[in-house]
Amino acid sequence: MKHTFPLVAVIALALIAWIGSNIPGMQYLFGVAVPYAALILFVGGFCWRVLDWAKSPVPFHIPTTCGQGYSMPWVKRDKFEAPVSTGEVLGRMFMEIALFRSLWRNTKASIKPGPELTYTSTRWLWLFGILFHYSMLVILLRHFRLFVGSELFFVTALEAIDGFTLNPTPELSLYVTDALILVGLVALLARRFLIKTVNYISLANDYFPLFLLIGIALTGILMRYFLRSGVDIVAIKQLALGLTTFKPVVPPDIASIFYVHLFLVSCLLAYFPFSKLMHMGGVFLSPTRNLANDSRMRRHVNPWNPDIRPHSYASYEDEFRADMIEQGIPVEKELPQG
Amino acid sequence: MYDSGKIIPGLAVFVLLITFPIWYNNLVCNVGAAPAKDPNLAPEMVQGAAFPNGQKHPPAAEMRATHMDVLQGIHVTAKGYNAAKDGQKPTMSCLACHGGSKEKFCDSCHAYASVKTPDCWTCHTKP
Repeated sequence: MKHTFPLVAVIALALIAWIGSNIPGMQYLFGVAVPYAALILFVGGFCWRVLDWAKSPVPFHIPTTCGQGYSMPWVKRDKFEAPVSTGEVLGRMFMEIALFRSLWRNTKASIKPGPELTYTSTRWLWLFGILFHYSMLVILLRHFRLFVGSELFFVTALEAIDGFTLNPTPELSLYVTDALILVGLVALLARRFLIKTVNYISLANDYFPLFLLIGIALTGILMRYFLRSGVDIVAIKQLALGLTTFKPVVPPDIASIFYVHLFLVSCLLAYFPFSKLMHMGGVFLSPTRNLANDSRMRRHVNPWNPDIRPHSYASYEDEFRADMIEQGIPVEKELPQG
Repeated sequence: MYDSGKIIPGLAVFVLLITFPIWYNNLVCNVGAAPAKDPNLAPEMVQGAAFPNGQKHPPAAEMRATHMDVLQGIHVTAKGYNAAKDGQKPTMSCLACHGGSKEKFCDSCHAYASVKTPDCWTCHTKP
């Protein structure tokens, strides 16, 4: 159920766009209204989530460390696993965000005959995670050629690098990232089915983004390599430029597969801020990563601490002296005479 | 709000990157009009045209989507073909009907869609 429902939902979304875009007049809805709404939801929702996190206090100083911390000058310390300065934290954050270092450090416990407990590195999640994320980034950047009115140097460079498998005509060459993104996504999906423990903790909202992304990648690949008829790049660019310059035009006769692709992307954008995909922004704000391991150098005060004044025994006795004497409790200072 | 000195600029950079096509198209670059379809195509040429190898000319919509495959196909079948003997014939065979100029017929759309112009013209003469 937790995987069937998301799969059915993605198929339903694709069908909605496929049938809807074939109804005369509905192209405006799928080509203009839905993408605009999705973009507003994405940018607005993203900012709202990040600002909401920014308003939440960090009660405790909780960096996770996995190396020797700063102590005596003659103890060799691990700068990136237990950073104490801002620069070291930046280095650690960079390795986390750009290289997925915490996945790289993943280990697997197993029992060997003996019995002996052993830990071995397993980097499959790192490998397929990084394949997917970087392919996605390259594909996203390549799409800028459809959204921007002039040639961009990074798009040209990426097309050349990505399409190195070459064929003399660049339009026909296979983009490596198109294949790698599918490899990454299918492996990340297979992981949730095949590894018993991961399968047990996987929820519908883990499967839905995977199916949605696979749907987007598949429609994109179909459009580029297989179902080319009706996919007129000039018309599609006209639509995309119209959206970005706020003068939307819907050229006639764009194939339905394009609208399916666009609708699934719109769904992804709209869904993004309200889902686990917000790890894109969240990774920058995770206190276990972005705090320096300096709790013995600097005092961290919980921002929501109540204002508790010191209450010494002397002042306690001052407050309750009369009652204490009445109950026969010994006091240090008697009641003033008179 | 905590750490607003870091979070607000970070968020601003993110929004600027995401909306790059919007502000870039409106403020920096000048978005041109979409090229006209089939410039200078004579009406009598629309029907019944054929390629030099005798193949029938597919309809315009199909050509728009698959012309690179078609050209590639012609290129492969014409491997044994002596270009020097025939002069400019292969490339001129498209352009003879379609406007007669590479700039008008090839480059107008390729530039608009930011598609690299293929390397036809490294061997074939530019008409």
